[in-house]
Amino acid sequence: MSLLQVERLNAFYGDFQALFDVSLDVAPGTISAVIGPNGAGKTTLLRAIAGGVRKLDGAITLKSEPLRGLAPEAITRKGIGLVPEGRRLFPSLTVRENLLIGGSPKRSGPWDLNAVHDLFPILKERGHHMSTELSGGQQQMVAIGRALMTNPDLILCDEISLGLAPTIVEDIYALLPKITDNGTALIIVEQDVGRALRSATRVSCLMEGRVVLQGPADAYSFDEVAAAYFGAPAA
Amino acid sequence: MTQPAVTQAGPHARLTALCIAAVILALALMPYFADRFVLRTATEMACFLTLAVMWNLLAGFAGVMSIGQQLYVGLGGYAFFLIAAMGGVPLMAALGLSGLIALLIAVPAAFLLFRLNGAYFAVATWVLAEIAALIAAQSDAVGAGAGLSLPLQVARALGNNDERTAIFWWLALGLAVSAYLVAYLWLRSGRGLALMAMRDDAEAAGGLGVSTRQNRLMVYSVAAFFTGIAGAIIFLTKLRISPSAAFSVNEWTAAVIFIVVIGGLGSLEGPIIGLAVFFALRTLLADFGPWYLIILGAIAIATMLTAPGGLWGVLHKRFGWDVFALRRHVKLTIGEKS
Amino acid sequence: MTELMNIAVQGIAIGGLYALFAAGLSIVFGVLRLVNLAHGDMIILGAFTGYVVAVSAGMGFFAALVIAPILMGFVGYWLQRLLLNRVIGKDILPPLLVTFGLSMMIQNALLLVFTADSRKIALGEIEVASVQLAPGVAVGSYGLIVLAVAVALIGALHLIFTRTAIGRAFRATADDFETARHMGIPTPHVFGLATGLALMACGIAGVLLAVWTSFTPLSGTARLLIAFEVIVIGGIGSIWGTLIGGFLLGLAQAIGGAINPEFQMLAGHLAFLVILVLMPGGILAKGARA
Repeated sequence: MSLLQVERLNAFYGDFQALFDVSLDVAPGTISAVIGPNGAGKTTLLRAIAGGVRKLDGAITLKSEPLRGLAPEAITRKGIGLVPEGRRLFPSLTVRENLLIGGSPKRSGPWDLNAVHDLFPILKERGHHMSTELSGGQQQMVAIGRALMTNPDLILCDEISLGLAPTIVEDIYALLPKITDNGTALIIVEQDVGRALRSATRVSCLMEGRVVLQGPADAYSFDEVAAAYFGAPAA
Repeated sequence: MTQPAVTQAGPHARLTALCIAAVILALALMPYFADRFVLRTATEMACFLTLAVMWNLLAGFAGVMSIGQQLYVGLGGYAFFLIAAMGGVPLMAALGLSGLIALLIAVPAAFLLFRLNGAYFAVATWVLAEIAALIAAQSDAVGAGAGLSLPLQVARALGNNDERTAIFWWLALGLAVSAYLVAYLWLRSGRGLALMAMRDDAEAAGGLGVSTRQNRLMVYSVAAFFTGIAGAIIFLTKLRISPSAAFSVNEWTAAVIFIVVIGGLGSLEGPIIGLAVFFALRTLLADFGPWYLIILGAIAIATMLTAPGGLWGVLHKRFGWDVFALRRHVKLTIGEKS
Repeated sequence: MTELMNIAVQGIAIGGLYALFAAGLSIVFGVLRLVNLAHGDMIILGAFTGYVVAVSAGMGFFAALVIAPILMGFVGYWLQRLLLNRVIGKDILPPLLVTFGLSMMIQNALLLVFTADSRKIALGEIEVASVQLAPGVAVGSYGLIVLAVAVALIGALHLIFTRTAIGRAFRATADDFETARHMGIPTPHVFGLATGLALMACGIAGVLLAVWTSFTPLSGTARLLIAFEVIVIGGIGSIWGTLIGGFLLGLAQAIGGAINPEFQMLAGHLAFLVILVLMPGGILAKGARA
C-alpha cells in the first residue's frame, strides 16, 4: 500500500506548463530520489505536493486522502514535511525556536525537541544561537529537524546537499536511515546522480517536466541514468 | 529561432488618433454651445482628470504610492495667488510658474521621501502635505488660516463672467490634454517601458540596468508639475484659497484615488471612465451626506478585491479594447511562452 | 530650569499616549508588512466604543478600558480574516488602497452615528490632579497613568513576541510567509490574531485618548500621522522603539508648544523630518527597511 500517490500531475505557472503527466508512488519508510537537470521541474514537483503551486491538474493523495487544492499548512497537518531549497530558516528566530515552529501543526509522533536533539546533538548545544550564525551544514540540520518536528509521514527534501562540503553531505545522508526507520518516507531531490542511486530505493528522472525514467534505484546503472539525464534519444 | 517582431501601434491607430482629435476639437468648441453650469462642471472634471492621470502615472505605472498629492495642488494654488497678487504676470506664465514652484519643492521632497519604501513613503507624503497646511495656516503672508482671495483686477482682466468661464475651461482642457500627451509619450518611450518593468518587479528591473530611483524621481517631479498647475487652475476658478481647502486629502487625493482605482489602475483609459463614475456618484449621492463617502470607500474596496484592473481592466479583458496602444505586440514565430 | 523640566515631563507624558497610538501600527507592520492607513480611524473607533460603554451605557471608564479593547480585538481579527487577508501579497498597492477606503468608511460611518460633535469621557478629579516631582515641577496624574499603561502594554507586547508560541509564529510569518505555511502555521489565523492584537491596542489607546482630550469622527487622520512618525523615529519594526519614538515626538511637540502654542503640531512634524534626514533608520535602527 503506497503512502503517497501522484497521478498524471500537470502543473502550471500562468500559461507556462512546468510538469506534464508526472506520476509517482512512494511507499512508507522508503527513500525516493528525484533527479534531473536544472529546470526539469523537480522543485515544482515538490512544491506541488506541498501545496505551493496554485494551478494543478491531476491527483495527489496521501494515504488515499486527496491533497490537491489544500493550503500548504493543511497539507503539513496531513503529514507532509518540507525541507525547502536553500533551507529558508527563519532569520529572526533562534535555532531552538526554528525547531519549535515545526511543532505548530501539533501532530503526534516520535519527533519532539529531544528526539531531534538526539539526532543532531549540535543543535541542542547551539539552541540559543540565531539560525544565521550557524554553518551551512548545521543550518541544513535545523531545516531537517524543523521538518521532523511536524511529525510527518513523508518529508520532501529539496537539494539538501546544495552548497555543502562533501563530508558534511555524507554525514547528513548517513543519518537518513534513522528517519526512515520510523516509517517516515523521504523524497529527495538530488543533483548528484551517484549519490541518489546509492541512497534511494526508487528513482525518478525528470526532463523538461516529464518523467523519462522511473523505477527501483538498483535496476539502473549510473550510465543508464546519465543517458536519460543528458537527453538520450527519446526512442 | 527567428527574431520576434515587435510592433507598438494597435490595428486602428490612425482611426483612433482621428477620433481623439475630433473629440478634443468638439470639447474645445463647448463654450459656443454649452451653458455656464456645464462648462464649470467640465472644467472641474478636466482638473480632476489631470490629477488622476498624474496619480495613475505614479501609482499605476511607477509603483509609487503617494497619498500626499494635495501638497502640490495646494502649493500650485498658493503660488498662483501670490504671483497673481504681484500683478503684471501674464496668466499662462503665472500658471507655468506655479507648476515650476511645485516642481522645485518636489525635488528636495523626493530626496527625503525616497529614503522610505512603499507604504512608509505613502504616509510620509501625507505628512509633508500636513506640514505645508500647518505652515500656510500660520503664515500671515498668505492670510494664515483665512487664506487669500484672487485680486479683483486679475479676475476682471479675464473678461466678463462668460468669457472667464470659457477661458477657465480652455485652460483646464489644455492641461488635461497635455497631461495625457506627456503620459502617453512617456509610457511609449524606453523610459515608459522601464517604468512598467519596475512596477512589476523593481529588483529585477534594477538588475536590467534600469535606474528605479532616477525613473521614480522623474515621474514624481513631472506629476508634481502638472498637479501644481492643476491646483493653480482649480483655485483660479474658485477665486479663493485657504489652507484647509488647498491641502485637503479627501478632495485632492482620496477622490483622485477613487477615480483611478474604479477606472483602472495602470491604464491610460481608466481615469476617464473613473471620472465619469465619480461625478455621476457625486451628483446622485449629493444629498446623502456621509453615506456618499461610505459608498465611495466601499466601491473602491470592492473594486480592489474583485477587479484590481478597474472597469477598464474588465472591458479590456472582455472585448480586447485598447484606445491608447501602450502594449507592445510581440509576434513569435515559434509557439513558446511570451 | 523648572520650566524646561516641566516641558520635558509634559512631553514624556504625552509621549506615552503617542507610543500607544503607534503600538498597533507597529504590530501590523511587523507581522504583516502592511501599513494600515485606517489605523488612526481605528483608534477613534476605539475612543467611540469606549465612549458608548463609559458614558452612553454608564458603565464608567474602567469598564470601557476593558470592554472596548476586547470588542476592537474581535473586530480586528475578523476584519483581517474576511477582508485584509485577501489583499496581502507582494504588491503593496492593494492593501494600502483598501485600508484607505476603510479609513473613509469608518470616518463617515462614525459621522453618521455620532455626528461631528466633539466628545470626551470625563474622569473627574484625576484629570486635574497632579503629582509634584520636584519643587515647581509637576506632572498630571492622568498623564502618569497613561504612561504606566503604555509601558505595561509595550512590555507585554514584547513578552508576547519573544516568549510565546504565537509570538514565535508572528516572527516566523513575518520572516518568510511561505515557509511558515509549509511548517504548518495557519497564516490566515495568525494574521487575524496580529490584527486583533493591534486593534486591542487601538482600543486601549482610544479610550485613554478619550479622557485626555475631546475627539470627533475626523480626529483619526492626525493620530495616524502621529503613530507613523513615532514608528519612523523609533525605528521601523522595533517594539521598544515605539516608546522612545513617542517620547521624542512628545518632547518635540512640548518644546514647540512652549515657544508658540500654534507650533506644537508643526514642531512634531519637523522633528520627524529631521530624524528622517539624519537617521533614516530611526533611533533604534536595525538596518532593515520595509
